Amino acid sequence: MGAGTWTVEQWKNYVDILALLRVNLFQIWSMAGILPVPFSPEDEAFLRRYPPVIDHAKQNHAMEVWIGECANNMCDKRDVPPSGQHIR
Amino acid sequence: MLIVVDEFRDGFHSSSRTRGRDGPPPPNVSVGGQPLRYAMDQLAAFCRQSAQIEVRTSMEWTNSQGLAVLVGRSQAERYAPVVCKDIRWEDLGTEGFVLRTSNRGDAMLVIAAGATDVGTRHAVYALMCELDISRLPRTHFRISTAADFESPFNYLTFKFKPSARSQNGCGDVDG
Repeated sequence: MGAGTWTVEQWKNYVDILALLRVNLFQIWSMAGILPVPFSPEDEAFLRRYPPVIDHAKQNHAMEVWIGECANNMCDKRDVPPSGQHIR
Repeated sequence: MLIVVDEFRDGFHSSSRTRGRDGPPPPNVSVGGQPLRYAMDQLAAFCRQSAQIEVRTSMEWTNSQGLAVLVGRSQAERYAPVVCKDIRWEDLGTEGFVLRTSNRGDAMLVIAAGATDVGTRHAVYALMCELDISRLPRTHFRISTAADFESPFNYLTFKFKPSARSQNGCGDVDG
C-alpha cells in the first residue's frame, strides 16, 4: 500500500496540497480493519502517523476529518509477515 | 514585500463554515485564527524561498514602495477603497474571494480578500497559485503510488504578472 510508506511530513505536504485545492473535508481510510491483531510494531508505527496528520488538517486548514472504515473488514491472521522496509 | 493583515483571532468561530450543518462549528474548524495564519506563513515562506525577497507582516501599511499584500476585507477597504468600491462582498458568499492588483504611487497593492475568513484564506492560496509556484524548491516529496509527485506543487504552473492590472479589471488608485 503506497500510502503506508508516507512519512508524517509527506502526509502534511499532501494535506497542504488539498488545502490549496480548497478541499475542506478530508476522509482517511486508514485500513486499520485489515490489520491483524495484535498489531506488529510496524503496524503500530503506521497508525501512529495519523494523529499528527489529522491535527494538521484540523488546526492549520480547518478541515473536517473523517476516518473511514468498512464495518465488515476483518483480518484473523497475518498471512505474510510485515517487511517493515518502508516503515520509518 | 509587506503582508498587511488584521490581528489573528485565535479561537474565533467564523460563521463561514464551509460545510453546511446546523449549530455552531466546533473549535477545531475555526478559520479566523490558526488556519489563516498558516496560509499567511505558507505565502511568506514561498516568497522567501522562491523569489528570495524579504517578507514582513504588519497590521499597518505605510504607503511605502514595493509590493504589499492586503489580506482580508477590512485591510482592503482601509487602504484601497477605490479598488474595492465595486466589490459586492455579500455576493461572494462563504467561499468567494477577490484577487486584484493595483498601483498606488510607487507601491503595488495586491488585494486578497473574501467576505469571510474562509474566503480570505482561499484568496491567499489563490495568490500562491498565481505566483509561479513551479519554482518552489524541491521538498524531497517522494511517494510510492501511481501519482508520483516530485514536489507538492510541481503539477501546478502559473505565471504571476505584476504588471497586469488584475483578473478583475481594476485600475490605478492614485490619490
